[in-house]
Amino acid sequence: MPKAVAAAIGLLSIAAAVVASAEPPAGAVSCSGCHPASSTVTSAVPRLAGQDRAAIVRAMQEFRSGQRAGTVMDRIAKGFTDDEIQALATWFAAQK
Amino acid sequence: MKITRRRFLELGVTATASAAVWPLPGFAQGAAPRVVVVGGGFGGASCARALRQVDPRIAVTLVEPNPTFTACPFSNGVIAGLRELSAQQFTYERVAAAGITLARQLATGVDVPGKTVTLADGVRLPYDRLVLAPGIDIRWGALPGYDEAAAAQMPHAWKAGEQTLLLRRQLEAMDDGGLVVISSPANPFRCPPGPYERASLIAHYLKTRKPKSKLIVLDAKDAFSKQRLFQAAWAELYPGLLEWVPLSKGGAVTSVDVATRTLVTDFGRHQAKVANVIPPQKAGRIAEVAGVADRSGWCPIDPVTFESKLQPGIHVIGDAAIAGAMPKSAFAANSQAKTCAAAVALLVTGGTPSSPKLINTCYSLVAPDYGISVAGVYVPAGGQLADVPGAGGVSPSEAPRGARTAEAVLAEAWFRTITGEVFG
Repeated sequence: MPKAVAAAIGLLSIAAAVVASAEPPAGAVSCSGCHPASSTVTSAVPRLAGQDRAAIVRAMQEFRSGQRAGTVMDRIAKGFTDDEIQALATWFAAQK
Repeated sequence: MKITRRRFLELGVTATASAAVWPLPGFAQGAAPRVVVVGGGFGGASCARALRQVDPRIAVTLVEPNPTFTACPFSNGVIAGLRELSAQQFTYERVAAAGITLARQLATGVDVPGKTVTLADGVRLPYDRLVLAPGIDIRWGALPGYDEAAAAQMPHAWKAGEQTLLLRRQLEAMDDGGLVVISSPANPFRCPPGPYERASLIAHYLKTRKPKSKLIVLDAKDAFSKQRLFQAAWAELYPGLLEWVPLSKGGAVTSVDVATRTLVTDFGRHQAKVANVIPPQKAGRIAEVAGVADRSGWCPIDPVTFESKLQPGIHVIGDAAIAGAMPKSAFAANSQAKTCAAAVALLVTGGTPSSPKLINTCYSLVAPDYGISVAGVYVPAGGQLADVPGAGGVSPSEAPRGARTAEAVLAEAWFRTITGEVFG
């Protein structure tokens, strides 16, 4: 029984991941204004696709609190809640 | 690289053919949703590409008469002789290669109930959803004396291209000691910090090449974007060279006299050697034709989907839209384009878009190695796009010169990225 529950939960989280990948979380599409989405574009500004989830969360939280110095990211991060930061980090970490 | 008309047609045929053989789960064969995008600038080209990325089953047609796009951001650098116009120009080859059908025609009409766009050659393009990204048109005649003929003498250079080069040539031809006058319009207009970046870079050109010259900015406003940062930098870099005259000090230009290159205000007349008139503007013409522009000349939109509040099935993005707190910038147009594409992709398949969050970041150069920025984060609120409180704002007023240099580098990086993403 616990096995079946675990399997069901597994399926649910896969389903959730599929749904999450269908529509980008709030704000995600704007990031590629500066952070290249295409791997053919080279920039000093890092690509977000495939970055470590925890690292994205930490960077956004530190930009937001002022703990990390930014040029514009300190001002932009202040526009995002913890939940939105988690969703963005999950989204970008899952990208190739 | 030039793309011939024939090549365009070939690309169009290729794209259409590949769409026809595409597997279409969820749609009957041949019933792929059709989205037509009018305008191949930062808004339209971004939206067309984003639509294909979000859902490759959507048949996307981009309507744009020009074979080459000339970008406005950084074109002030061309005027000041810091870069060439070719660095601003991009073709649609990669856009076509992304599976987008290009219609190299001017859109001349929209049949809203019939859901078709008419092109200059009479062809009608049927659509399920239409996205208009027409940018701006000059409001000819709104400033007495300033018509299309006047622009050949007193360039606006507010649509990049030949006008940009004309203003540059006039500056290059001017003797040292000449008076340059820029007139800046009342809000709203394309690129709110643009007139002041232009003033800065022209001042840089004069300081380094023609130091006895003077630059006056006549303004129809008392306040402008990034004002404190610009004014602090002007005091530091261009003292005595650049003078800004606000509305309250008689800055509003009420008419121009082309024959004498004179700008007239209620307080006096300024006879310029080089006059740059940034005139009042409105949404690009097709917006008016389609009935999506209101009496202001701009287009009210739903902040979640960018669908027109005046005509169903038509979305408006970029400079033409009334986007609340979002400025008319290339970054904003790109952000809106991708948000609109996601919404349209859902709407054509019966889905419901959720509330988006948008971003703007806008750099200005005060000198080639001195950048400043404004950023904002926006959400739908009260039927408009509103600033997220506590977020955004301008660069710090007190910052080491290294921070300004870093912003100049980031400005350039932004331009390379956005043009690479949209046209590369």
